Amino acid sequence: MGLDTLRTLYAHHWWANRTLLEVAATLGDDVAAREIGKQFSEPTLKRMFLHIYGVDLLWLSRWRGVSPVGSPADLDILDEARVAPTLAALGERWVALERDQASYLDELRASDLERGVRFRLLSGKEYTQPLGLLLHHVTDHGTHHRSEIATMLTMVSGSPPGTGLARFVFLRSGQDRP
Amino acid sequence: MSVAMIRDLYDYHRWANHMLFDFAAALGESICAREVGPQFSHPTVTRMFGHLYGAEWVWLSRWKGTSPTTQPGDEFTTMAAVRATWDGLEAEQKAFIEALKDDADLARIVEYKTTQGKAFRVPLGPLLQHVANHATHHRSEIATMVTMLSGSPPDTGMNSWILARTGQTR
Repeated sequence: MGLDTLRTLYAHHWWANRTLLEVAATLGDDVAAREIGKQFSEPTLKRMFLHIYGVDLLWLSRWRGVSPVGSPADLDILDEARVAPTLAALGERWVALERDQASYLDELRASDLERGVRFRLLSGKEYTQPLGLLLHHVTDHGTHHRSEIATMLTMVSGSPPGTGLARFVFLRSGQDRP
Repeated sequence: MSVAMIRDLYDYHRWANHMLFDFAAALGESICAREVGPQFSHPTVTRMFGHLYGAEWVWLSRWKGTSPTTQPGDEFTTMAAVRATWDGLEAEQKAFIEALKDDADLARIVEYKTTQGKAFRVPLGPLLQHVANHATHHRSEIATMVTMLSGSPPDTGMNSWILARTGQTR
């Protein structure tokens, strides 16, 4: 497992989240709070962004040794009224979370990635998994839900810009998209 | 970047692709060929799997030094046809991944042209990551499509793979 690779994956994760959040913000909070369909894992754009944000926060907490337990509806970090009354409010919290994730990544050494992390899911069930794979899981999870957000945005407005990893790598290296 | 990380990633990638493909295929060819909606990047489940196959074929060709001028995938009309062709590609992709030796292989610059002829130069490592990430994006679309056609498919997230690999369950 490579720390440099994980840092690239997180840089992509933050860029892609911000790119879609900005597109959604231009549509306004009313559109972001509109129910789009039960086929999605969260019914509104705002709740889907909140899900990505909340899961990122949960995993960061677990890596640091604290596993919140309980119903998602009862967790403060997933409380839409408190955390995401507007997309702009969520975006501000997200900047702070990105900084926190970045500092966590900065402090890691390569050997930490093989370390087993003992944590509990919200259900209370306990697991132990290698930190490196859990770090990777969070970025992969973000891609999964950004795909849903892209489909939702297409339905309410039009296709958003691509947020794939290749596009990020190319933009960062000064080349146009592949 | 490490070769071990890439091998894990592609173990997960194959597991997730098979999990979702098998679930969708069990719904039958006619359901997988049904147009679900223009909001998706490809209109049917079969076409979406065809796209995944086509993208993986193009990228594997590029990694090996050939830049195809067309991307296959749209020609498949059945899930059975996708599976039959994809199995061979998957074996070839797995052999490529397993032949990687060290970080120097991942740092190797891949020079290729897009199907439109535009030239790029990128290290192999990020391109390997891209293909797996690209598949996660489209599996998410397929999961939504399958939910609309039948019901939610099983979770194919990386965490579920980690649990399955270590004999743990949710």
